[in-house]
Amino acid sequence: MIDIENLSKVFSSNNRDTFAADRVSMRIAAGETCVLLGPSGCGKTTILKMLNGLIPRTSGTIRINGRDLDDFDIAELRRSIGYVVQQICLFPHMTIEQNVSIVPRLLKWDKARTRRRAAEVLATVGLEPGHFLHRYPAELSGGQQQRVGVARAIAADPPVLIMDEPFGAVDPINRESIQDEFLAMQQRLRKTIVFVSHDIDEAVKMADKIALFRAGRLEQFAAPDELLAHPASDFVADFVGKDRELKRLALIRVGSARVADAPALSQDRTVEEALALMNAQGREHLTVLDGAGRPVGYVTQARLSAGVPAATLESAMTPATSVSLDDNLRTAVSNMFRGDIGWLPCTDGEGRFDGEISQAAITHRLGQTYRERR
Amino acid sequence: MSSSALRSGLVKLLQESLPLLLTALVCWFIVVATGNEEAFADHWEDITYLAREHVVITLQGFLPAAVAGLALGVLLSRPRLRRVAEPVIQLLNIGNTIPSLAVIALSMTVLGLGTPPVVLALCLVALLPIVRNTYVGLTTVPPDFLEAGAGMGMLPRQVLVQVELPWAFPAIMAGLRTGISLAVGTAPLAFLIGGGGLGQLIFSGIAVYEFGTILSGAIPVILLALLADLLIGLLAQLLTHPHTGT
Ligand SMILES: Nc1ncnc2c1ncn2[C@@H]1O[C@H](COP(=O)(O)OP(=O)(O)OP(=O)(O)O)[C@@H](O)[C@H]1O
Ligand SMILES: [Mg+2]
Repeated sequence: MIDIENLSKVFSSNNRDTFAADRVSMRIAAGETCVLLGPSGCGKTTILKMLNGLIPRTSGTIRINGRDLDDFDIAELRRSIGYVVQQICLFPHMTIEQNVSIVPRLLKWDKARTRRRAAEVLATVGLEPGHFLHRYPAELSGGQQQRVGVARAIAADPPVLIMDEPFGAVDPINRESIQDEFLAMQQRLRKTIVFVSHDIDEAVKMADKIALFRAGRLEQFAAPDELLAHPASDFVADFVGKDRELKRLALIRVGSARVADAPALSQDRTVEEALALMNAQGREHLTVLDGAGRPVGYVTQARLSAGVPAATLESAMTPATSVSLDDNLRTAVSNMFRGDIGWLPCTDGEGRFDGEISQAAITHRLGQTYRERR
Repeated sequence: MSSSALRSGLVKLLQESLPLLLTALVCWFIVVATGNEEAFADHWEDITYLAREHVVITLQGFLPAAVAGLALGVLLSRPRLRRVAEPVIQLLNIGNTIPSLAVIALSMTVLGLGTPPVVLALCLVALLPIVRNTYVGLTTVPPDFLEAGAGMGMLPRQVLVQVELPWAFPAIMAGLRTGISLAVGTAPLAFLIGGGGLGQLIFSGIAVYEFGTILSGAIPVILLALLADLLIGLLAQLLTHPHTGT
């Protein structure tokens, strides 16, 4: 756990004082990922570097797991905080193995253990150890270097990770996949992470909590959905963007917006049965399932009433895409747009039908937080 | 893989030694063109003896200069000494403009005649480029690297050894090359104050106006300077990985 209280940093140069941090207080729980977000020059890097003492504080306190930063041996503290530097900074004269082994060596691990660990962390970040251990940073692509930067930070298995725009230097496509891998890794490792970004989308994707800064001041400290739905100030609202409701889509699981009691019928049932069911439930459509209960298509009342020359639903239905309950609403909406349709059948972990999701349900789900606050 | 590494190594070796080989060729051409092969052969025994002496005094001056120069360069680049570092380097730069002959003369006024003043002078001459290059190499390490090292929990000494010195290595090697070439080239002046070396052939040749004698001193000096430069260059190559640059 990281406790920051009234933290300030003043840089004085040319008789001008810059508040890079202005009475910042926040608490980051163990196992949480906190993203420091804000425009360039707002003090993100400064705050991050105060956490491992690279920049001395002007005032305020920082406690890590309840212990004041001043009470730590600074080198020891830094070895226990994995650090991913802005611009990666792998040492060009060291092999990947040597780069990754820096902290274990500083901690005087024995050679065999260090070597094992180097291979292990490379694998963790998705790099084939046999292929990369003995190469030099200059021989790696930007994305690979970025992965090594993360591997180096987690090599000694520190409980806390601080990262300064760790995925800043790669192209958007690569960034997406590194982010995904990192999220999956964090699912397993549950580190306490402080992560600098100036990209709202990245923050929304990675963070449990977002700390949004403006000229050294903490404007808002909240979970991503809270920040997007209830910006604390005009600055926050501007920063998160006019499309903030759309960004919320990525945060909400389909499962939390789906309609459970949606009608569905097996494909070997008749058109009459389908019409009867829709009439009984007052529905315009229903989902058609295969023998294993997986959605394969849909039929609408309008089309069936117009008369179709088919006995079973199998030949009467229109093929349909579905969306998993674990997907997010963004994926669902995207699939709806692609299918030019206002709803989708949902599937559970085994791909079986489990309710449906509609644009109305999504709108309702997004509005929930506003109704609660009214 | 090892055979291609061997081949590229040989090509490198050839490239590096090209200046030495070409110069040797040109020198030999001059000797032949001026009809001095015989004088050269006559002096062969002197040449080998004096060349050995030349190497010894050069090394006596250069080796302490290398050690002191590295130490001084490292010291001056420490943050605590940054304030005095610039003036000291300026001073060294001014010192560097003093002609070698003047350095030898000054050294003699302090230590008298013989080998000691020569060694002191050669040491001073070689010291300057070594200190300066070490200092410049160490102070141009990108701050991000220093911070990355410190941020991972390296002590200042560990940052120096694991980050700064490897970064400054090419610059330091360049300083050593310059230093040893200067020392070899200045050593002939040793003869003027009673030190040994190839200067003896050069200056006695000038005194009696014998081109053959002059050449049999001058050419070995030139070749020795190039050879020393080559050896340090090869050492640097050997210690540097191809992917780290120079
Ligand atoms: N060493 C320093 N001396 C003086 N001012 C500094 C120093 N370091 C940072 N600042 C100032 O403090 C403020 C915050 O800088 P910081 O590097 O923390 O910003 P940042 O949010 O990380 O920006 P970016 O997104 O561009 O990396 C800036 O106004 C900067 O100019
Ligand atoms: Mg920054």
